[in-house]
Parts: sequence; structure tokens; C-alpha cells
Amino acid sequence: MLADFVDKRRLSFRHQLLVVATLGLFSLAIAGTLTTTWLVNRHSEDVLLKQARLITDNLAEQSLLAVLYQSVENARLPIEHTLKFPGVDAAAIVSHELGTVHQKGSFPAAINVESLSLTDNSEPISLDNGWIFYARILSDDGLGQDDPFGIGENTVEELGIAVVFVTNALLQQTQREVLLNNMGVAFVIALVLAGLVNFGVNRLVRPMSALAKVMIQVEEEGEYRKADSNGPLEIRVIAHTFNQMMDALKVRDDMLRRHKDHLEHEVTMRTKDLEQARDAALIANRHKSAFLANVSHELRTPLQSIIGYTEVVKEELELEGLDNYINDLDTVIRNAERLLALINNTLDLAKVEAGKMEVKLDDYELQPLLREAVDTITPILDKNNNEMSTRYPDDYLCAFVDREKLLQVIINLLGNANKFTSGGKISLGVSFDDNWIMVAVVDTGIGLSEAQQEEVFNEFSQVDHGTDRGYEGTGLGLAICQHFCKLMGGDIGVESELGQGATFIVKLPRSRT
Amino acid sequence: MIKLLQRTGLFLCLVFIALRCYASEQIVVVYPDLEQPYSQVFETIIEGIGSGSAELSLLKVKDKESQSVGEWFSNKKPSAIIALGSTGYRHNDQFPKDIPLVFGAVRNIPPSRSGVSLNIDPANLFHALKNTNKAYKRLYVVYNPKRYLDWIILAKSVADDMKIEVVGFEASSLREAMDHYKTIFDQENLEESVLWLPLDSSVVNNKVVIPYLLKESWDKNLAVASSVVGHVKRGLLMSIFPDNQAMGLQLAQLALERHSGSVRSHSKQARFAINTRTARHLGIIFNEPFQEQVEIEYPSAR
Repeated sequence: MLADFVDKRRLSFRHQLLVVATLGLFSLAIAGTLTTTWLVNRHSEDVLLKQARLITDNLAEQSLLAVLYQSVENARLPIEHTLKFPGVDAAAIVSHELGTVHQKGSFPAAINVESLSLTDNSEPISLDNGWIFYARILSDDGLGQDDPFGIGENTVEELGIAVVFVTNALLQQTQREVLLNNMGVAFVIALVLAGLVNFGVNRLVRPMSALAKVMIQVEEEGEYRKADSNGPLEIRVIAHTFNQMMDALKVRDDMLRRHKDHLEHEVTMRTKDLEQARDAALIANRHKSAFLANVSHELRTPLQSIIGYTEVVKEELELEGLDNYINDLDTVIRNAERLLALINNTLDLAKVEAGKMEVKLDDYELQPLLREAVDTITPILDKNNNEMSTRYPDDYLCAFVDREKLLQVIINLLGNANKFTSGGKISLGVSFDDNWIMVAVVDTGIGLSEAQQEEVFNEFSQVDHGTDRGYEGTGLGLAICQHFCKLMGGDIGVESELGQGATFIVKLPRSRT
Repeated sequence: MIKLLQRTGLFLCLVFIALRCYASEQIVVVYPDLEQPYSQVFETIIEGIGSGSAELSLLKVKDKESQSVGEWFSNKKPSAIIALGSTGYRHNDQFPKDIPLVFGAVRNIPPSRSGVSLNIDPANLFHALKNTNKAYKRLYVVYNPKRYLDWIILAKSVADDMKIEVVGFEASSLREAMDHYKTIFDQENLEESVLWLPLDSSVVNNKVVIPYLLKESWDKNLAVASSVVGHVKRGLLMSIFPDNQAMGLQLAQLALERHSGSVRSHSKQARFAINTRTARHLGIIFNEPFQEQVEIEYPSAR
């Protein structure tokens, strides 16, 4: 309970020690006082009872003459002497034959001295306010039963009794005074001892308080302070350990600070290097794009001339009926067109990366655009024996897009679906919500692995894919599609499993946001 | 000459045989194990017993040793047993029944028993009174008839020869005794009377009666005598107390006489103590021969 109290109060160690010590001292004082008082009271009562017994026996001895002579004069003196003893309130000499010889003082009302029955001299009658002592008055010569010369002679006669009333008022008053005095002395001693304990505890806990103060300062200020190694052994050990810990923390902190400085320096240097590398890369990329744009432009012009003049030659050969050369010219034209497409894609990609690709965003109805894309792709479906299906909603759907670029994206996706699907199905579907329109191109072709899905939108990814060598294409189409979608504020994604076909979803904004 | 030598040798042989036979008597003395000063009394009595011709065998006992006393006698056949003091009396049922038994060093010998009491023979008292300058006519005695009647009878028989009247007052309690003492002190011509105090605490109490008697006897010039030396020291005129060594010899003789019935006697040899100051106060002068017999005087003058 005391522990709970001091714990709940969250007192300091010094205060807890003082509370416990002070309570202990006062408990000791109270216990000591009560014990001492009890012992003194018992001893006082014993002494009083023994004294009363002696007084009564003495009165009985001195009463012999008074009883023998029935003489009040002989009784007066011993009774007066008896009454002089402290605590004796009344005394009487009673003859067995003739009743009370003499009585002085007042006996309690319940006691009739002439009717007392004597059974034992040693036991007094205990009353609320005292004791009644009585003793036989014997004609005893002092030899009694030990008389070495008497045989069969019972010469001792009992002539009467001496009765003494001893009040306990004086004893009770003495006991009260003893209790009060003991309590007073014990409390004064306890107070003095408490003061000494306070002084001792202060001296004892002072080094610990100083140590705690240093610890609090360390916690609040974050500085490494050292405590004085004074006081008892345990406190010195704690202070020594604390100082060692402070030293170790300081050394570690210095090391961390140096390491941090070193790292910051390293990061600065690396950042600078990276910035230089990045700038160089950006410059190189810009140069590359510019180069590609220039080269593409320079390549397209003669390539278009080649295509144009080849088609002229082909028409003339058809007119002249020289069909043997027409197939060769078709091969030339087809490869030239592929080369032109490659150059156009490269040119688009270069423009995008150079930030020069312009988009003309506006609200366009989606279904006509999609039908146009399907119409464009339908002629080539037979080449791979694929079936095409569409699923458009009946609602009027309007997307905020660049019409040409969205058309290029859809055609590209339908073309890829046809290219990687053989004897399968291709479907074009549209779904929407309040903000977005999702256009999905689904095929049942060869599908994409997870690794391929991660790389499918990178430039030239198809070229890097060994398994795709059998398919035509530059590997730039999907990269361009992704750039176009992002330029329009949308995005493109793929869901596929290898051998299970693929689904490309184009996400488009429905309105200007 | 030869005849004379023969007669002398025969006489010596007879004397030797007689002494031998007499010395073969053995007396066992049973006495209490007590401290001083009581032990001194018993040692003196035993010394007196030993001064006779019998061989002594001593048995010192304590009050609670009745069993061991019986065992002690199991392999002994003494000629007589002398039991001393109240302790000796209390062990009498442990003694062999066929051996003469006498009691000593007790105040009174119980009826049907034999022994010598501590009371002095009245003749000693009268002997002392006869050796004064006074002509005493009366001897007052307050006594308990249960214990002191035979002494009174004996005293009266002795007193008749001396023309002294023995006036006895029977008392069975101290109160009655006190009343009798008052009566005595109310008598006329107390100078011609003597008060004898028996060795009996039922009529003489050292705490109350003696102080009273001292005062009254001093005031009324009554000569008081007792058997207790201490009374003389306190102021009584005279003490006649038994000669313990003589009493021991008296006991030994009584034991060896093997009486068939009860023989109760008092100490025949007495010693005397007087208080000279009281004697002067009473105007009593003891004659020279008697003064020679007085062993103790108070106050100690000589």
C-alpha cells in the first residue's frame, strides 16, 4: 500500500526514502511507546499488588494485640500507618468473634468486611476501582509448622482478618502519565531521528540527484556532458559508466558526422557527374533526333522518287505486256514502301523525343473514326485468315483527341493483331465511364509473356526479340502509339498470356480536363 | 600372695565381662537434618546420649524420608531407638516395633509414649526460688491442660513441700490466656508471687504476650520465669532451661531401662539465666551458691 502510494505520487527516490524512513521511525516510536508503557504498567501493577500484599500482611501482624484485647486504641496506630501508604484508601481490623475492631477510610459499597470469606491470603478481590486485600490475623510465634520441637500441636489460632482497600486511581493516573511522557519523548526522538535521516538521505542521494540532473541536461540539450564521480560506490560506478557511455557516444557521433560529410561530398560529386552525363545524353539525344529527322527527310525524298518512278515503269511494262518484270517491280515497290514506313516511324519517334511532335486535340465522334480504321485494315485480314468483329455502344461517344494520331494508333494495333494472329479472331470494342473511353483491341494470337509485356512499348523491342524474326515490322509502332496516347492525355496498356492472345487497351479522355 | 593374685585376676575378668556386656548395647539416634541454631541443640543432646555406655548409631533424616528410614532399619537390630525432635517423632511408624523407643527434644511427650520433654522438672524452678531473698507464696501458671497438666500436677506435689501454692489457669486459646494474665495482674501482693511461662505457644506468644507481660510485670513487680533464654534477654527475670547434654544422658538411660509402659519425664538437669536489671528492680537477690550455677546473665556485666 505504501509502495502504491509512493509510486502513484511519482515521488523522487529521496522523497520515497524519506517517507518510508519517517513512517518507519514513527511506527517504531509508537510501537516502542506502547510496548514500554505496557511493560511499565504491568510492572507498576505488580509492584503495587506486591506492596499491597506486604502492607496487608504487616497490618495483620500488627493487629494481633488489637484483636486479642478488642482494643480500638491498639488498632488505630497500625491502621493509620497503613493508610499512609500511597493508594491505600481504607483499612480495617476484624475479629472473628466480635466483628470489626476498627475501620478507617471507605470501602466500596459492595464489600462488607465482616462477611469476607477467607480462602487464600494471596489472591485479592479485584474490583473496578481497586483491590480488596485481606490477611489472617494469626497467633503465630513465627515457627508455624516448621517448629522442630513441637509434635501434633496446632497452636496457631486465627483470630480475625486485616482488610485493606487499595484503589487503582493512582495507578491509572501513573499509567496515563507514563503513556503521555513516553509518547512525547518517543515523538521528539522520532522527529530528531527523522531530521537526521533527512540530513543523511540528502547527503546520500545528492550525488545521484546530480547524476540525474546531468542526464536530463544531456537529454534536453543533446550535448555530451560528464557526471562527477562522487558519492557511494554504486553511484560512482553508475557515473563512471555514464561517462564512458558519453565518451563512446561522442566518438561514434564524430565518426557518423565525418562519414555523413564524406557521403554528402560523394553524393555531390556523383550528382555533378550524373548531371553532366544527363546533359550530354540530352544533347546527344537531341542531336540524334535532329540527325534522324534530317536523315529521314533526306531519305524520304529520293525514296518517294524511287517509288514513283518504279510505279511509272511498272505501268509502262503492264501496257507493253512484259509481265515477267512486274513481280520484280512489285518487290521493289513493297520494300521501298516498308523502308518509307520505317523512315516515317523513325521520323515520328524522333519528333516525339525532340518534343516537336504537335497534336491537334479536339472533340471527335469515335465510331466513324473506328470504322475508318476497320475499313483500312479489313483488306489485309485475308492474308492471315483472321476474322474481324467490332462492338461499339449505341451512345454517341465523343473523345477529346488528335484524330489522325488516334487513327494511326488504332490502325497500328489492328495491324499488329492481324500480324501476330493466324486463322484467329480479332475484335475491336469500346467501353466508357464518365471521364474515360477505353478502346480494346483483342486477338487470339501468340500472346506475350510478362517480360515481353514489360518491354513491348520500348523502341525497337520487336527487333531485339529473337523469336519475332519471322514477323515484319520495325518495333517502333507500339512505342509511337504510347507516345501518341500520352500526348493526347491518355494511356495504353496490355493484358496477355503467352499463347493465349493479347488485349491492348487505349484509354482516352472524354473531354478537356 | 598367689591367692591374692588369683582373686585380683578373677575380679578383673568379671569387670571386663561386665563392661563387655554393657558396651554391647547399641542405641540408634534418629535426629533431624537442620541448620544452625537448631542443629546445635540436637548435637548437644546426642553428645549427652553418647556420654553413656552404649554404642551410638546416628541416623540423620529429613521430613520426607520415611521410606528410606524403614529401609535403613531392615538389617539392624539395635538395643533401643531414641527419636529426637518432631522429625524423629513423625518417623516413628517406620521404626521396628520390637525395639524400645523413646522420644526426646520435644515439648511434650504424647500419652502412651516414653521420653524426656524439653520442659524442665519443676524442682529446678523451686530450687531457684528457694535461693532468693524472697519468700514466695504463690506460683501462677497459665497452661493448656491438654499438654501441660502433668507438669502442673508434678509442680504441685513439689510445691507442697515448699509451702508454695501453685495456682493454675487453664486456657485453650491465646485470648483466654490473655484474660488470665489480666486476672493475674489484677491480684494483690504480686511481689510474693511468681509467674511461670510454660513452653507452649498456645498460651505464650512472643509477639504479643511477652511484650505485654514485660510491661505489666515491670509495673506491678511480678517475677516472671520461663524456659526460654531469649525472654530473659528481653527483660523477664529468669530462665530455667534444660541441660541438653544431661537430657541426652537421661534419654540414654531411659532407653536402656526398657520400661514396659509409658514413662514420661521432664528434663531433670537445668541451667539458669537471670536478668540482673530486672532482679534489681524487683529487689531480688540470689544467694552466692545459686549465682554460681547461673550460666547466663543479662545485661552482660561480667
